[in-house]
Amino acid sequence: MFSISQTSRGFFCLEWLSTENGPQIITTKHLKINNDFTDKSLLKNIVSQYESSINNESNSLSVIVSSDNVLISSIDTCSDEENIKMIKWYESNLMGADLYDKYHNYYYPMKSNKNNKFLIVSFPKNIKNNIMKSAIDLKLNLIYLSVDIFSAAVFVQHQYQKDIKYQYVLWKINKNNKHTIVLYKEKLIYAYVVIKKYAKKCKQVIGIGNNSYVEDLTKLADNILIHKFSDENIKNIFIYHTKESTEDLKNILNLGISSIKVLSFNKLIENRSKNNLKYINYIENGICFKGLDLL
Amino acid sequence: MNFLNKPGIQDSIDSTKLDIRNNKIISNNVDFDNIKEKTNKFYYLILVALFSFIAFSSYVYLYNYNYTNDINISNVIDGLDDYNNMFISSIINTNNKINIVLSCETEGVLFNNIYNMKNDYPNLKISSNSRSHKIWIQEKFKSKNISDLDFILLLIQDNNLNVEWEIFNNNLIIIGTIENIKNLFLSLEKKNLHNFNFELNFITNKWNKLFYKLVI
Repeated sequence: MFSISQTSRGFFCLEWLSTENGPQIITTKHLKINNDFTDKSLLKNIVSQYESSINNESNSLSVIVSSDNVLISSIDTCSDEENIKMIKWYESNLMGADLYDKYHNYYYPMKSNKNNKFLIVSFPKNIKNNIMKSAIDLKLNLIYLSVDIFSAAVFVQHQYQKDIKYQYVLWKINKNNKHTIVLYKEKLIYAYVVIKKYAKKCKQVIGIGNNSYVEDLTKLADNILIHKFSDENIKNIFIYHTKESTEDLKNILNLGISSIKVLSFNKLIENRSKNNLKYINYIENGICFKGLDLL
Repeated sequence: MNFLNKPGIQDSIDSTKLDIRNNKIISNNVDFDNIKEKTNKFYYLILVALFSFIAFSSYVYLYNYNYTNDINISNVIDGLDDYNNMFISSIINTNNKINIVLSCETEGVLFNNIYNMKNDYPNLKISSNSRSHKIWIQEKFKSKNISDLDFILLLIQDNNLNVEWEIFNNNLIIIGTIENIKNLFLSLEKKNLHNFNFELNFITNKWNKLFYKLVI
């Protein structure tokens, strides 16, 4: 399978094959090209630039777009019976025709104490259409279309099945001192937060989910990034980044907090490196391993 | 989260309600602003056209063949004859349609009779001016030609019906009062002879009796 993940630094592409030892990543390539998926020829450009390395045994494709392209929000509904009715009302009265016409809205159930809560991911129709059309033109079988941290979560669920029976946190270090942190339990999202680190405190930019979970995540970030400790209420924190500089990541890892694990594809690489961070930028291709035994 | 899924509420982050399989659209929720979309639209257009054709054909079929109930003209005449200040101007049963024209004395009578008549005959039309006030009823009944005119003549003779008759250009022409004509239809209906083509027209009012010409 050929997989492409979009980041602010270009595209991190990989190809894996099934082997006797499980899936093995056989090629990786970082393409520093225009990364605007509204460009209809973008996927064609990526594939043509990667073609020299690509092994043509499979025509399956997964594409992971940056969360910069999508809108993330939430909605509360009264009951299961009212879900569809309230969502229709929300789309027609609050989103408005322009937004509804331009985005596909996906509603993911979230853990909530009182009402039903949904995480809304609004995916741009033009990007989805461009990718699908390009895949058809290139005779590639598009299997997965996902968004950065949510694709990385699939990798976590497969690589660390034993460790994530209870709640776990997926943490992405973004550029400009921003951090995206998602709290999962099993396959349900409990909270999604984006925080910005300042000199003396962390400030919440986006907080979706029950207040208590959102506060927990903000406090977790504040403790680790500012106060340099973790009370270890959360046993599993999986961390990664797609930045060029590893400084922020190393600062966190150097705290020696046992619950923090860095995500790594090293196990899946044929000529594996001792450097766990070597392929960390490719982690967001995680959804391409969905359904496979990676243990 | 796979955004190839159908938009809307997802079962979980692992939901697999795919909108496409093998790059082929299986739901119209995915937009294609390209040839694929046009092909898709064309496909739906063909489907809509096909369904429209089937619906239209069904309508035509039902329109032509779904009115197989027999009509008792004797009952029709009897019923219409009960209305005051109104007489039957003509009853023509041809081409699977029966057309009845009724003449009312005044506009007031016309509207009064329509009010009572509309339950039995929903397809009513009216024409009213200073000289005539008419009601036109049209209903659909499958009709056929009678080939054995001798049978009718025998029936007139056996039942001693007080009518004049003559055969002219292979048509049986019968003259009589509305009561005589009604009795003739009653006799035919007793012999299970329904829904045949005929024309009944008012001729004249003589001796305070209305005379009609029936052409079969």
